[in-house]
Amino acid sequence: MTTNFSVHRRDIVRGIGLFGLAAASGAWSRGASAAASDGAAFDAAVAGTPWLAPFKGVSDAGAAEGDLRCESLAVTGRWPAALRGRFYRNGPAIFERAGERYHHWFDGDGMVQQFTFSGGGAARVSHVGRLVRTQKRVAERAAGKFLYPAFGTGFSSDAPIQGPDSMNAANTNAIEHAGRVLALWEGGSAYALDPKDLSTIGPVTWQEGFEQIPFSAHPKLDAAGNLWNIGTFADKLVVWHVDAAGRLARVQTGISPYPNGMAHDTAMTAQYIVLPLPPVKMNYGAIARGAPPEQAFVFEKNEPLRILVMRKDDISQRRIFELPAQMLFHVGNAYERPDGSIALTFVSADNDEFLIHGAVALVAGHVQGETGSSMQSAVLDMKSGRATVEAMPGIVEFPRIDPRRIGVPARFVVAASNWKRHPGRDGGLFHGLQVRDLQTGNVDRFDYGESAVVEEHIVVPKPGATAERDAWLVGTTFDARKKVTRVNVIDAKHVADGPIAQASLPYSLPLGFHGNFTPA
Amino acid sequence: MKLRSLPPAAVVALSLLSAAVSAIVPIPARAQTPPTNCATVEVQNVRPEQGMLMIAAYADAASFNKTPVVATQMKAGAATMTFPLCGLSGTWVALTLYQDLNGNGKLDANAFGIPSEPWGASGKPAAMSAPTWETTSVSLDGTTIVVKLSK
Repeated sequence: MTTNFSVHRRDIVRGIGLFGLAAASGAWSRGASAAASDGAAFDAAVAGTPWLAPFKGVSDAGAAEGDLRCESLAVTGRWPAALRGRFYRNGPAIFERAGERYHHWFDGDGMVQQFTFSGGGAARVSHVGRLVRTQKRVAERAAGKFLYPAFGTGFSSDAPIQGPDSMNAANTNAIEHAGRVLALWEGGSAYALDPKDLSTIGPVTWQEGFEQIPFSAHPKLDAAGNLWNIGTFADKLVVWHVDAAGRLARVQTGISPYPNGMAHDTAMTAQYIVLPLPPVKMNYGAIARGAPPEQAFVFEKNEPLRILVMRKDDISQRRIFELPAQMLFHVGNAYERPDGSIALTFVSADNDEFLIHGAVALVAGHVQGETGSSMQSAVLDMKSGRATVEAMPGIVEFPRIDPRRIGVPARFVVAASNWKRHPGRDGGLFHGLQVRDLQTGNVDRFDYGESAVVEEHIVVPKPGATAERDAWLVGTTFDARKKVTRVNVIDAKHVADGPIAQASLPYSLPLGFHGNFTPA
Repeated sequence: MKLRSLPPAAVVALSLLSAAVSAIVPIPARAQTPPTNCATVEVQNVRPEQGMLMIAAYADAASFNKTPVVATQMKAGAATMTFPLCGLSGTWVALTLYQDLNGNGKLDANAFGIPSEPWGASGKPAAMSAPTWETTSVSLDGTTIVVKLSK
């Protein structure tokens, strides 16, 4: 540990002290139906749900502005010498200002985590965590209170809104590409950070005339380093192609067949963008006026899950496939089969309970329901226009595959999973990890235990290996007993053995969403 | 600062949720009438000394964002500009403004119709919705009308 750490800790403690102040006076109002989830109520609730403590969030008060740093994590087990590079994660980190709290997990301001694996014989792991310096956060930090409406929480302050980036939380994913770290958020610009120290460079405009057009949170890298991404806004959609040097190669715009929906993730094949459009109507205007998510986000059960397949070289050439109504956040993978059909795996639930209730309860310090999501395997017949889908048992989320196989056949899908009812957890979040063999149906899994919150694990291929399972699964867990966050390394061939190595921080991080690895 | 009603100042319908920004509508020249009613306007977050501040004032819901009762422009000055706006009548007014940074006479927008120049309106525009008469109209009672341009 360096002396930097104790400085940050003082600021964190001071920041938490600030949270104890009485709620800010009503310079701005909240909707009548907003749950009274202020700081004190959260603290009381989380005493009974210690694994949700990270939802307190961090404070960006003081000179440290929320920065976290650890020069040398405590490593147990045998850290593979060849596992060398930078592991990034992003997630919502600020949930509270002046005693007032956000209502929804997706609201919090983004904090990017960078774990550097030195590799080699005496492998060392270091950590830097920094909040993204968005215009929004800088303004709210200066004001000492929330000013702008968030994904699931409205405020009626008179802070003027320019466009989507006025509300950009930059909180969903982080990927290092062409020498910069991109902090990604579904509704607006990517924010670029410097990989040397995670300092914020600023929002990325890929081309004049395309300022603030959403550059969504789940881009897909192909084998040549091209980054493909989508964005949606009202009835419009955009497909981005960024080349391996980080320059915009092409941008195409079109009209969405399901306007005002939530298009969170996309898949791609060699020739196509495969974009699921779940039938949930998002009325952000209602949120801004104080409506709760359960009123503003409407799951339209009588509409299909549309899968929009667009040619990468001309998105106006497209087909729309329809599957039974389901709520989808994430895809596993897609690829073109020899007969021309498209295989697509994804994770879905038959309701939107997590979006409108589960993700709200967590920020208030309790559990309501589960994600209820499981993996599906679909075939899209490009000749007939028909789609078939098969469900795979098991509650999962955060699906990931071998990054070298994005858009081509991949046999294995890694996912966080729930299969035990650990006492007191009520199925909240995930306790385990699984690897599913799509060919045989076999599932290997490991239970991290009742006091661990398991986060997304990504696939890091072993250098020099080509087989899909010659890889490490790298992901974080929050240890609710010790109140620390750990980075875990599991051998993909021996999942049931659990981590072969763990690097533990002396502090905990806010729970995050997605991340990526850059080999060094 | 000298004010005069100008022919074709740009009038723009702003929308963040519905389809793209409508086309710019040129406004026919209005005959000069003696100022019947003036309001003091304070505009904040002006990009100092860049381009022109474009102002449109509307008298009622029916004409809101269609036919301004006053349309004028002035050189952008300090970050906060305070000036009289005359030629108003009645008890209510709604103002929409933008700062034409590049001097092309219109509110530039990106490919999705989202404004890429600073814009603002009187009253309390609801986030994520186009300004309406309901959200922007303010009383013509001598109170300074404050408009905050987006940052």
